[in-house]
Amino acid sequence: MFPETALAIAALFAALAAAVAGLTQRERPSRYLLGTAALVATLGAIARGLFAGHLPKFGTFEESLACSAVILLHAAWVARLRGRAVPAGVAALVAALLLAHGLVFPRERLPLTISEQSGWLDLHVFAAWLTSAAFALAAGGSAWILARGGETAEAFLTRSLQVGFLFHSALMVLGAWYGLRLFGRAFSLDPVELLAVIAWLTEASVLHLRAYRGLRGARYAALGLTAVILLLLSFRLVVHLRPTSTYHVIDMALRIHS
Amino acid sequence: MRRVLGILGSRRFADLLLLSMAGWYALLLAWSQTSPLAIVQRIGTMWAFRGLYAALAVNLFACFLIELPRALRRSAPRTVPPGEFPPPGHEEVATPDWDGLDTAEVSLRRRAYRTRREGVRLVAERGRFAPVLGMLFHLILPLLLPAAVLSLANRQTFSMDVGEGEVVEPLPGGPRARIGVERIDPRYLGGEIYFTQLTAAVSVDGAPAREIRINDPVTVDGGDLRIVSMGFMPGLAISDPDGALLDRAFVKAGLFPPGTEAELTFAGSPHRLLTSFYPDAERGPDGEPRNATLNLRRPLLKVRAVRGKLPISTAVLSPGESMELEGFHLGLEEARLWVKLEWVRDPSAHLALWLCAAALMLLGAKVFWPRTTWIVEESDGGVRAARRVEAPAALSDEGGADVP
Ligand code: HEM
Repeated sequence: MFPETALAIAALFAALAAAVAGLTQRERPSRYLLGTAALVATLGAIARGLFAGHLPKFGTFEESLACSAVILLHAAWVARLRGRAVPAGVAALVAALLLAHGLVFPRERLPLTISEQSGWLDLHVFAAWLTSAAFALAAGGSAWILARGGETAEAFLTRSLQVGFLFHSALMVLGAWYGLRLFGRAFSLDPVELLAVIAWLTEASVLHLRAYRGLRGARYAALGLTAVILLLLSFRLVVHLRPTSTYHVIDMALRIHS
Repeated sequence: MRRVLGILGSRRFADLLLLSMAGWYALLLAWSQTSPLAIVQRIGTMWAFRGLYAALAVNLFACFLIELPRALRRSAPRTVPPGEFPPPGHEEVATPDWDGLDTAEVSLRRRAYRTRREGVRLVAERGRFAPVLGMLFHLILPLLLPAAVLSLANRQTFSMDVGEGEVVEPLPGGPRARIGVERIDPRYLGGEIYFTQLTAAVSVDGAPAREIRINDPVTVDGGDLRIVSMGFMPGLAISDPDGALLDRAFVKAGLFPPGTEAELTFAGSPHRLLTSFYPDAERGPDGEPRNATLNLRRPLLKVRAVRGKLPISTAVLSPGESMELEGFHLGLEEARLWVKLEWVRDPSAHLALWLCAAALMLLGAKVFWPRTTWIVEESDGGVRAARRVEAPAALSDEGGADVP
């Protein structure tokens, strides 16, 4: 077993433990467990990057590992404040799900193919990780509202959705720019783009309803969660789509050459 | 007029449009799982869809016109009535390192606040125009529609296959420049079409060559020129029974799978040549060529010559070798690489992306630079300060109170 695989599995268990501690509102243990999970996942992602010789963005396994590391770091940072155990715990749960999903895929270390070798693509991927981190916390904000309600929880959800929307917009613009460089086209109705736009429009709708239509409480939590699920699926679903319908399968073994 | 604008730019209309768009894209996604991309693209540009885009653009623009004055009003400087401390809406904040209004002023200015004195108070503000930035963000979105329409209408593309060492003169519909390919350098992982490198040194109008890649174009005649694929080109020469050179030509062999047949005919010769190219060939026990890797290392060309449907002869040639063809001589002179280059001139797409970048900056400023006001006043020996952040900021210690 590669060391990064062992670290990914360890991070998965630490993240699950952090999620349980957070959801049962044991603040102190949840902080330590989150810190541990974040550290282990980050080490795993760095090890993978060093062994593979590139940013861990190529293949669902390494991409999920790095994405979870960013989510966990962000959640650990938020959990240092009092009263944030529930949202941070939910973010840890999201990271655990991503890690588990990633572990199902081939884990061989591969050099980048030519279409993946670009600093622009690295920026795009970074924006994707930051987007996931913000939306994992938005899922936490929704759970927080459902569990206890209150102004602070709602403000937390709004802030997470706003930051997530910003990074998601950046991710899409960088994707379009890279598409223009790689395919000579900025937008092409590829399923990955359709999924991103669907999630993005939903996010904007939820923010609007909140900003000027008085969306509050459980309904806000439910709609916020819907936006989060669409956003997370918008990338995780792609590998499971019809392979000839998209260029975005990042696992070489699953890629169809056409 | 005002009423029409009000309806077109209404928030209810916006909500409806945003959700309809999301629904439309969900349908397209379902289609993409059962139909090829070309059909999805055709559906995606249907009139109903275009109508939806146009309606959203109109709605956004009208919304901007309606909301801008409001946003400007909300951005006006406010005076905080003296007296009460902390003033309503403000929260008292500890500031251990300020010993007077002057140090507070210096410190806040360093953090990009505008400061002013109101009586005994120091008032500092930043991000006053956040609501206006929000509306300017909304103004950019409808501008993307004309940019997209212009891009679809005016986009020019042109592809050309250029051999290593070849210079192509300007062609109608293509870039107005001489394109030379000096060197092509592919690397693969193992023997598969898994490129770990594909570069071409391209010279434009005789200027020193610049390396381009599949995702790293060079600008030529206002467009982007990039590599889209590559292959091999064995060069053949045919001479007549008297030994006089009749013609020279290259066969364009694709990259994969090796050994795929390509056809070639020469003027002045009655033969059709069916050729299979192997870039790195070994001979099997039966003498038939087999390919080892995709590197151009040990090229072999298998030639099957036919006249009409009649097989004439078959030979396997290395560079420098030749074969007999009913008196004609067919020689393999060399084998080299070619690249398919694509030139795309689409200034509107670039414009659209610049607009997007501007929209991102505005959104970023609105999210990370909320309107914040400080009120600082002297109080027995030190200062006390209160702050108001006009956006929810519960991700950090600032803003929202802790839940017990
Ligand atoms: C693609 C279309 C749109 C997108 C992506 C979008 C996005 C956004 C975002 C991210 C916000 C910030 C919400 C917040 O402060 O939490 C916002 C606010 C707002 N939007 Fe939109 N919007 C769109 C279309 C529209 C349209 C068509 C209207 C007009 C009816 C509109 C009216 C508003 C208003 C009034 C606000 C509140 C502004 C503020 O309080 O700062 N939006 N929008």
